[in-house]
Amino acid sequence: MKARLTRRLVVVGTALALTTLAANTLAQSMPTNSALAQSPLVSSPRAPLQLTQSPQPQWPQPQLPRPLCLRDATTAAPLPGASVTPLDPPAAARLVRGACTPLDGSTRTVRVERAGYRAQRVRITAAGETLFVALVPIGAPQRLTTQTVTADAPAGRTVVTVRANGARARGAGTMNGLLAQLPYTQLRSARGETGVSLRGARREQVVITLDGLPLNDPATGLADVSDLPLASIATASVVPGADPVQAGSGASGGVVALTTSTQRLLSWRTGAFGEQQGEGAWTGALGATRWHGAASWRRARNDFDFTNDAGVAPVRETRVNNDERRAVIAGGLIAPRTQVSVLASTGERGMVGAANVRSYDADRARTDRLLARAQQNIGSTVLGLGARGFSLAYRDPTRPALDTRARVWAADADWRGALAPSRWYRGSWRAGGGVDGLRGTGGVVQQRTRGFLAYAAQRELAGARALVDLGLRTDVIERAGTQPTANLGLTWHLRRAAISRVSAVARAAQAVRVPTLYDLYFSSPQRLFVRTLNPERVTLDASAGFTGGLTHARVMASGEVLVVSRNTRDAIVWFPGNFGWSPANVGRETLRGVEARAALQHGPVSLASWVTSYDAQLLSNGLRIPTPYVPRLASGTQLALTRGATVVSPNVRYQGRRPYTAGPRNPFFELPAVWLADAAISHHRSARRADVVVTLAIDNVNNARWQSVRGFPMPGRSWSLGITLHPDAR
Amino acid sequence: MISLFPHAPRRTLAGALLGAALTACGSDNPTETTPQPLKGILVLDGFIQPGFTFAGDTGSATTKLALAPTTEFDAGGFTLLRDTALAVSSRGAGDLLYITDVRASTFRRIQLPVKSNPARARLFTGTGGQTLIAAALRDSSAIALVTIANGNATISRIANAGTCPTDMFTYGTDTWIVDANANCKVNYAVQGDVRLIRVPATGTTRDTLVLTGVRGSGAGAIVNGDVAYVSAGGDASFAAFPYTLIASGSIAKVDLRNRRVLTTRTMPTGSYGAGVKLGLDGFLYATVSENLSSFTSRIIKLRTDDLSFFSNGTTPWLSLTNSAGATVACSSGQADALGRLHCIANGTGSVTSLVVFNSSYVEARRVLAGQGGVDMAIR
Repeated sequence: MKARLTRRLVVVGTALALTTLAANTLAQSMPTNSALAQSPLVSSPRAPLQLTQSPQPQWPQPQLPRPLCLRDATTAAPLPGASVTPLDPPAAARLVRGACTPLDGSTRTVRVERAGYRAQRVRITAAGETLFVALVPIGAPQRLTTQTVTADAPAGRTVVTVRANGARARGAGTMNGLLAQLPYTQLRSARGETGVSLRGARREQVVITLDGLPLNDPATGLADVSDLPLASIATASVVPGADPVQAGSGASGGVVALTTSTQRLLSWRTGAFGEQQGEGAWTGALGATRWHGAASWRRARNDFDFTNDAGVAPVRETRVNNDERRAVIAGGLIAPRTQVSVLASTGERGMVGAANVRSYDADRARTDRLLARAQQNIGSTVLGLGARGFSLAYRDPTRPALDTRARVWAADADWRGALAPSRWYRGSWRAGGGVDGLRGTGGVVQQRTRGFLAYAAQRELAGARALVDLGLRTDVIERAGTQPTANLGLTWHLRRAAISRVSAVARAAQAVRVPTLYDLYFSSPQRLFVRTLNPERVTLDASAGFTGGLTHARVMASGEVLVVSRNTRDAIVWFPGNFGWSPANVGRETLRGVEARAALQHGPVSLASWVTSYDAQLLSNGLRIPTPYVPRLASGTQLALTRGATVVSPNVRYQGRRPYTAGPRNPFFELPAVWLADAAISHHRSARRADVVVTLAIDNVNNARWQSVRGFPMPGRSWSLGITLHPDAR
Repeated sequence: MISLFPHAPRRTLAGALLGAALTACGSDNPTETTPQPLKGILVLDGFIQPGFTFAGDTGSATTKLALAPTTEFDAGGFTLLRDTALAVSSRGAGDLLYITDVRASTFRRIQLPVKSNPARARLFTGTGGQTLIAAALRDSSAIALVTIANGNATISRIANAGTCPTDMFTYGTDTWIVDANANCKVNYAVQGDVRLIRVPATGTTRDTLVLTGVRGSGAGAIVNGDVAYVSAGGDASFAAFPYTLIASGSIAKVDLRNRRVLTTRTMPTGSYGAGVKLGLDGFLYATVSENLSSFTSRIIKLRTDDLSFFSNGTTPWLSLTNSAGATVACSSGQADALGRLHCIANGTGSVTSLVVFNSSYVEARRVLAGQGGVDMAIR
């Protein structure tokens, strides 16, 4: 047994485990005087993540001997709150505050436990610096070799992770800022809410999760995470492409996975247009349980100037009724076998109208949200329970008769586990169910139950040069029937040398998105009985290309290029009508395109860039309609330059022309292409009892006049100043 | 963000406001008309990509004039006179007046008073013979009179124009205002019967003629000689489910000379709406929703003398079929001088077709006409 455990240790001196993720992970608990800490992007497409002993030359050495850092084996996200018990020599268990903890130099074996993950026994075989341990989620497939225990991201997939604290140092002060630093994403915002588009998908086709709990509102399908406190977030990972098995209904375009942080942090940010924001996060131990909590308060007038060209002649105006007030509290408990997370938020904002419409100057919207999730290890399985409640109210003091309110709730349960590994494959299973409900003004009542069963298997081929993933899932949803989906992924390692790796990847997946409760409600003219609206089905989401990485003593690089194609049948698209907006199944929707990303790090310079080119079209009734708001070309580039304790981070984004109506291509109904440049400078200073990071950011440096959603202007050049304290950082 | 009723009041009103434009064409007696060749057909695409689709009289070719995005254009209808098409955007789309030169396929827009919530615009002739544009300002209880000189627009107002003015016309030297008598500022709730308000050319007096039984927040008028046909879409409650029909739409025939109501006709039981056009064949064509469940559009043909229904089947509305005999739902209908009904139908994705029926009401031709069609007119 001992020998077997020993074999599970991986001591990989190079490879992507030394990416900036590792550096940033440690940044939570250690001084960040390394240039690596500011790397914009981190990729973990196929990195051997299990346990890495780093020869990282620049890393701070000494006063923290042998830090042990934990991460999720499938997403590479740092994993806070684990319990580490030294076994040899024996010592008391300790709760890890963040994702890293220092090990005593004499420790030779430890046991690592965390709710939702397989417990691991880790043998420390080599003297050195940082040990990276990737914990395998219960139910996730794992690969066994003589030297490695690695649970990979599904074969053929790209997972790119941005760390919240790294993003903060590069100028991001809000969740929107963090999401904007994710590659392949396009943010859409009109009235303060934010939705994310991936791979040319509509916002409701992207699932956003927080520690595995979906944040999407079952009424609209949207997940507005703009109010989440950045202090409570450890990482954001973007996974483009359909993800039927893990995310289920709705993940046609991809998944954005957020993880909760356990850190101590205080932050204040002030900025243009009346922005004031305070955040705090704290963590501590209660016996064998770690608790963490975070709170955020924000207000802003958002009364920026803009040129209103919607009227007869361009007029310089100031945005009115665009203010916002938000408050969020989040917290949780993490024990070796149990984890509980709770998030409550409330927000009110002005429902500013389109640029020339002053009729909405008094309209207000209030959103309240309560989310909770708990998971418990039961033997070798994990049982998860979640509940979500949303309340949305519109109020117009001048027309109270039009006030509306909707309350939406959802409850979920899922159970997952792994099958015993066989000679041929490694399998896992997952089963669950839930119920969604809606109650709204006018006596609207809807409820829907759902359940699913999923199976995933993984197998190595050609002497471990290839990895194949297979996933099958069947959802049974009230009024939508049985919806089977599947995915198949392949990674073929063309080169796996010590300093470089190249893999060919391919993936084919299906996806389904059942109509949301609003879809059903509005598809019925009488709004009383839900009318037949077919689920939207991605018949094939295919991608193929190459990924690669290079690790040298001073240079690290990673990247991928993929050709993507997606066919959707019965796409659910909202069209305006004579009576009101209503959704309809259009005949077919196609997307063809290319996605590419590259990240390079050389000494104090870190550069990351991505580009997407899509041709997305709806085919309906003989018309070819370009999918609204999908630019043919989009890109983003982030640069981080580190000198001493100062980081300078320019960031450039580009969105090509994009249609804003569901009509045939017509330049008259397209938003113009736009370049947006942001810049930030941050300075880190270590004091005796706290680390301080001061960040000055200027967004839209080039003062571009642009609109994310037609009719809703975005701010021009704006500034913000943030001060962040990490108490007891040392 | 999605409101539970994002556009319901406005669109309902707009849909019921499909006004008649051809006040100078035809007469009360169809036997007196002489069929004239068509100069083409205009279809107004009111949403998705708002603009006019111009179809030749053969329907074989179309061209498009884009007007504005939906955030700046939400008209549910337009008026057409002397190759000038007028449409307005409500308070939800910027209170704008769109003036289109149909022959040149050009347009310009004029800012009407902010938050005035205009309902309809028509060409007027001023006391000095100059051309004016009148626009009913629902939330201002006023009529805007727009004068354009040297490219500059000047706006004056006729105040005290009722609770919710939705249409206006001139008769003699007087201005007549159609007051929908609804709470248009808030939720378009009907307050009482539709009224005609006469405003003499001079003075501040107002004569009011109540059109008993005619109710609806979307009210409009067609003037033909000494007669006005005033229609309103009816009254319904959309506040709870199922929707409740309070009163069906109706049409009143008004003798303008003697200022009295000649007759009133209520639309079929259970129906909602009454957007009326005067066909070139001398009949009135009203578009209604068959009920408040399916909202299936139906076209009713009425005789102008007594407002009685002309039916070609067992239903009060026209039985429209395609060549295979299947029922065709259509709206905003108007017949040409030969009695061929033209109308528009929106399919999946709100793709609009201009549909032409022969005199037996069998579909003869169908031409794509953009998306989001809300109104049409024969030139």
